[in-house]
This record gives sequence, C-alpha cells and structure tokens, in this order.
Amino acid sequence: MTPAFWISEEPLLLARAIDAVSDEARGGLVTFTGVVRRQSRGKEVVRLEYEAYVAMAERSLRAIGAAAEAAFPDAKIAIGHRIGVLAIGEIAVVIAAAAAHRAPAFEACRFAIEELKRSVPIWKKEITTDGEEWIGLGP
Amino acid sequence: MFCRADKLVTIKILYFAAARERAGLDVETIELDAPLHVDALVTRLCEARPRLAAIRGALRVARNLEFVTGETEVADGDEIALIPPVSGG
Repeated sequence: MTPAFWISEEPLLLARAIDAVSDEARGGLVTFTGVVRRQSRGKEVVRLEYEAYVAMAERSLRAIGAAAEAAFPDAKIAIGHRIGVLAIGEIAVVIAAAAAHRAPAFEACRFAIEELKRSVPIWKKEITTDGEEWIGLGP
Repeated sequence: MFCRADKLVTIKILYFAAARERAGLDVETIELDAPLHVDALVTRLCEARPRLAAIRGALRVARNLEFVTGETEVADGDEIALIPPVSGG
C-alpha cells in the first residue's frame, strides 16, 4: 500500500491521493492542486526551488491528516508535496479529502492546505527575473 | 573512570533553506560538555556566523522532528533542526 502522505522529487500524481482516500462510504471527494504561477507579487517567475526536512515534513503531513480526520466527520485525507526544482505550471502540492458528504470534504481539504502552509517544514525559493528570495523570510 | 567520556553530549544539527545558505552548511555534529537549552545552543551556532545571526529571530527549532521552545534542554543523541519560516504549498 502506498503511503497517503508523501514528499517526492518526482512529479506528483493527483490520482495517487484520490486512490488513497476513496471508498464506498465516502460520497464527497474534494481535491486541491497547487501549481507554480508565472507571476508572483508583480515579478516574473523563472522557477521555484523547494526544500523539505523530509522526515519531519512527512510526519507533519500525517499529523495534519489525523487532525482533519478527528475534526471532520468521516473525513479521510491524503497529501503529496513535491521538492526540487519546479518550472511554471508544474504541480507543487496535491491534496485529496473524502468524506461521507460534501461539507466535511470541502472543509477538510481547506484545513489541510492551510495547516500545511502554516506548519510543515517545507520551503520555497522563488527565482524571478529580478533575483531570488526565500518566501516567508524576505530577501 | 569513564566519567569524562560519559558527560559528552553529541548533537546533530541540521540547517535548512535560508539557514543552510547563511550557515554555509547543511549538517554538522557538535559535542558539548553538558546539556544545554535550545536558546543557548542557537546562540552558540550563530557565533561567528553573522548572516545566520541576522535571521535568528525568525528561526524555530525542532528537536527530534518536533518543534520545541527555547527552554527545552537538548540531550545526547538529539537531532536539532533550525527551521526558517516555512513556505510550502
């Protein structure tokens, strides 16, 4: 069985996250896909470089999944995050949230991405035509 | 007597993202004569590294894969990570 929470240097497949949460008891399935934008804060993005503290990040993702499953009725979550060099249009993060009904599925998916951005030890360096910057820290 | 050797505290330090670039390394092993609080450890790691010291206020610390406060004591065998503001997603 493939893990439902993973960090990978390989391109992400949303289908893997969907497969990890789908079953006959869950009639609502919500997914989130985070994609590298061309523009960021008025600058032209050349590429993003993602780095993770992999052991802690995977553990943090599992903790987010457990918290979501405790907070939202019947919810089940899967999260994959890419690391390495990403070009514009590439997928940085995939999340699938399934629940018996749509409301907890939407809420669990939103919860998962917000918690990921707040607490999981993953970093992105934005390389633009103007220079480079670790996002969150400043130049 | 083995007392001296027994007192040595060996800690692995991991530097990530901006902390890695500013420290100029991604991992190091250090030895302490005695256990130390996280705050004191970070002070020591920032010594002679002004570029790392400049972002000290933004750093969080993880001990054995969990965020800890500055008052936490580090112990022999710990893996300590300097965590700049995270920006996944």
